[in-house]
Amino acid sequence: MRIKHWCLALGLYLGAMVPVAAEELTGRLFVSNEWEHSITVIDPETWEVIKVIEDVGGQRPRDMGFSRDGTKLYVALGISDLIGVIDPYEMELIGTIPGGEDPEAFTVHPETGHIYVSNEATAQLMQIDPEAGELKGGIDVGLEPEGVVSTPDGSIIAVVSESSHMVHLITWPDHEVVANILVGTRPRELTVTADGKYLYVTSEVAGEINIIDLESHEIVQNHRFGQRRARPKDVRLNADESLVFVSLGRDNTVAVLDAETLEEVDLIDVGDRPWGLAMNRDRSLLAVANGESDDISIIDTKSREVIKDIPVGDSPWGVIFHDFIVEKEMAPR
Amino acid sequence: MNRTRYAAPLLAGLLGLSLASVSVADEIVPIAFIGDAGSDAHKGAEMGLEEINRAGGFLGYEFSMDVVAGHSEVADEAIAIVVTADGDNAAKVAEAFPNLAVFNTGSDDDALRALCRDNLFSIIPSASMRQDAIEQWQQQADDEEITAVAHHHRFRRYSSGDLNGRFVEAYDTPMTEGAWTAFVAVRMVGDGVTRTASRKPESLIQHLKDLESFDASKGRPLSFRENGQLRQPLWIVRDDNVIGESPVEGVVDQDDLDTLGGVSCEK
Repeated sequence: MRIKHWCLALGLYLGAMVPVAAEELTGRLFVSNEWEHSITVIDPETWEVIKVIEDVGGQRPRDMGFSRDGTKLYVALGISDLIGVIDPYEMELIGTIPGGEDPEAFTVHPETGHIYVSNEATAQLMQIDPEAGELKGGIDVGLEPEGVVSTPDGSIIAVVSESSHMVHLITWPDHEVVANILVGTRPRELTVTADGKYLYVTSEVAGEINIIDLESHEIVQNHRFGQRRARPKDVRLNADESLVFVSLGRDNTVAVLDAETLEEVDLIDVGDRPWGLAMNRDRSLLAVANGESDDISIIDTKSREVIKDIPVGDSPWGVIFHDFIVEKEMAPR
Repeated sequence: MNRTRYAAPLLAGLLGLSLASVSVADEIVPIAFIGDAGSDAHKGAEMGLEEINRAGGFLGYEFSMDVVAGHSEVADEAIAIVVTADGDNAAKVAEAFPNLAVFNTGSDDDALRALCRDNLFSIIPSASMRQDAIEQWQQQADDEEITAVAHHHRFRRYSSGDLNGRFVEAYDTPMTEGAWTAFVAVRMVGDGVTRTASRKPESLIQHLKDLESFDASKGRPLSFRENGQLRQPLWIVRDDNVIGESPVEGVVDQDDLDTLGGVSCEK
């Protein structure tokens, strides 16, 4: 059963990343508890809490992501200026690597496995080589950068700046900022279609979601939420990309929109102040981190109903299922 | 033209923006600041300037700020005027420059709002806003010794922690309300120019009047009342700590920012 050790050994032996098969991933749900400085691990079948990882390598864990082979869970530790590296099988800390200043949200690049993390305090997107454990350099972006996503082919990295209200498009491997697109006030998160053609971007204070065409760099669709307390935060597409799920923060709901027209088709009650979202591998389930009720809602994306509420630690921020491999397919960001 | 005055145009060039967008940076957009150099308000305005130049640099805009003692010294090219507690009477400035957006960042006089001058925008809360905020809080509790403020240096929610952190990093002193109001005024000029893609003063005034969702790290979209007062929640402070927010849930509709202070015009 110690498949991952075999993989790690082989990986080290070959000196290369060796992807493990998807069935060897645990399927577990990992939850970062921002103000408890811990990670809760949940069984995907019983929905029981298996373990609380109390030592995550530092303080204020927020965004999480897996190495391309799925053997390491990275977690951004904002207060500690570190990335914690967690073994998702043993559910324990392996070590830490530098994260730049105030690392918040990141993506793992599908071609290199490098981490591109928003450094909120210095307004940079920092490139980290996690294998070497070193910072490669920062790319200047707007103030308070947050959500980061890469297109599936890795050619474009998009990052929002919350306080400059922009989406920055950065080419890879040149790291050239090719577009700065003004969107609604306080953009928070984004996701990209599987063909790499469109970005969905939430704007928290404007209460909006926009679709950006990655070729023309134009906003091609916009929706402003009617709910007075809607503060859109995270965003995910369903399996056939016909629907988009958006966590609405203070509205205590997850909105379901038509992915093309952005018309609202459903509104799902969840816990208090839902922020982080994660789809499982086949996108049949959506996990929602409710930051103020300290629990996780699990939504069945077909019936669009909450099938489970799971209490976790203080201020859950992010969620991620350990069931996909970046090298083989796009992580369901 | 001194192109090395700020890093922004240089950065824009390095980042490969199109020639067309770089060329709009040829003209620097000047903002006038009436008040004392080195004051809290000046520090706030300076930080606002740095931030709008950072954002503007990505889009090909550059801003400058002239500190002057009174409105007679305001340059002809200014797009907007920030008036602080140390400066002129904001109403007089607004009257002297009817075509420019004038930001009142230092006076809480309700009479100033009741004038309803088309070009006068008050960032600082009026005295009646503070009073209503305190009364709402006292209705649900006790007669604590409290104050109501627009900004507090210890507040962390809604990204205020990031904002306070940037200020301390830059000036090694807490961000006071006076620093915050001047900061917000300058940010509004920058956001207005980049969003309207216009450096015309009248476009800025119209933009401010139409504003629906300004972000001032207060967790909700902010806009101006008909009387030019910025609608905003206030923080309830006791012993130099924020203990709550107003409008107060349970006493009034928490989402109704017009429960604080006067909203009408003296016509």
